Amino acid sequence: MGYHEMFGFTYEPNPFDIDISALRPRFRKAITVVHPDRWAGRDEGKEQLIQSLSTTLNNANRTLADPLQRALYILKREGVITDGENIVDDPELIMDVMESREAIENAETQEEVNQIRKENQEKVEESVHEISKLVAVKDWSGVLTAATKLKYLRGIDDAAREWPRSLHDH
Amino acid sequence: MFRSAISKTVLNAAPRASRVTARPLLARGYHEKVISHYEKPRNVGSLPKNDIDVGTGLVGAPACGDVMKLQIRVDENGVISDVKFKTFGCGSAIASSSYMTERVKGLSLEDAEKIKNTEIAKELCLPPVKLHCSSNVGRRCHSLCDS
Repeated sequence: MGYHEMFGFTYEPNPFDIDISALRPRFRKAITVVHPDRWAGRDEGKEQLIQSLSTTLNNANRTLADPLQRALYILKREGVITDGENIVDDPELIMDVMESREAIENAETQEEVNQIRKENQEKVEESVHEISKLVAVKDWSGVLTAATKLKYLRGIDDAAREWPRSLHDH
Repeated sequence: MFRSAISKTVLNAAPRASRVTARPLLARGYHEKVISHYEKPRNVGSLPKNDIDVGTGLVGAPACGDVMKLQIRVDENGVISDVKFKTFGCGSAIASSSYMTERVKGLSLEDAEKIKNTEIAKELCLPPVKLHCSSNVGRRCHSLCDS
């Protein structure tokens, strides 16, 4: 059973567009059924199954809740990626990402970092919209490119949030 | 155009799942050499990118969202006289970059091109899952030598 189906979402027509506000209550409902506490003390065989089901539900919830994880999950489900893909980067994207990361590193005030973070957030939102449109037309290689870009943008947001501490980078 | 032999196994290694901090580096069984290059990386910084004898290479690691910059200054004899790198990424990427810069300093472009990704991984004793980080560094170095 796929993640969407677990929470009563339909995979078609657009598996990327799910009603996020509905996810939390559905997750809560599903998890109470298989919560380990509820089954504690019952027969041994069931305990393992319950553990495995609740872990799966947690993973499913986490994956669907985050746009990037959701996009990657869809790509896996469509057989577009398995693991460790040979993705070709767009040199301009890498340059922009590098500049943003260096700007954060060299920033001297919180305001500067907030500005970078704000501009980056706009790009993140654009990227999420793009993924939605690409999934709608099943342009899987387009989705892969867009999800990769989103990954890099996330890195920028993480670095901005950590500032002035660095994210293990030099 | 010369391209380093990037082994499929290296590229197909499982992508890094989470960021690395210094303590988990030890917990995950990283070799001392990696930790040394991570805690005290050599040649961190930038060269003036508009200098005519400076070459700049950028590479991303899409699996983990890391980006790396490698710059070399080449003298009139085709020897790499200075190297600087900046890496925003995981410990292995940093360690690989640091090691690579030490390795290529003073080498001719031809000799630098010959460095294999596997050498980096072996020298730093990187666990297989981290090979893709070092391959990115190696790849960048080679295409930089080409240009």
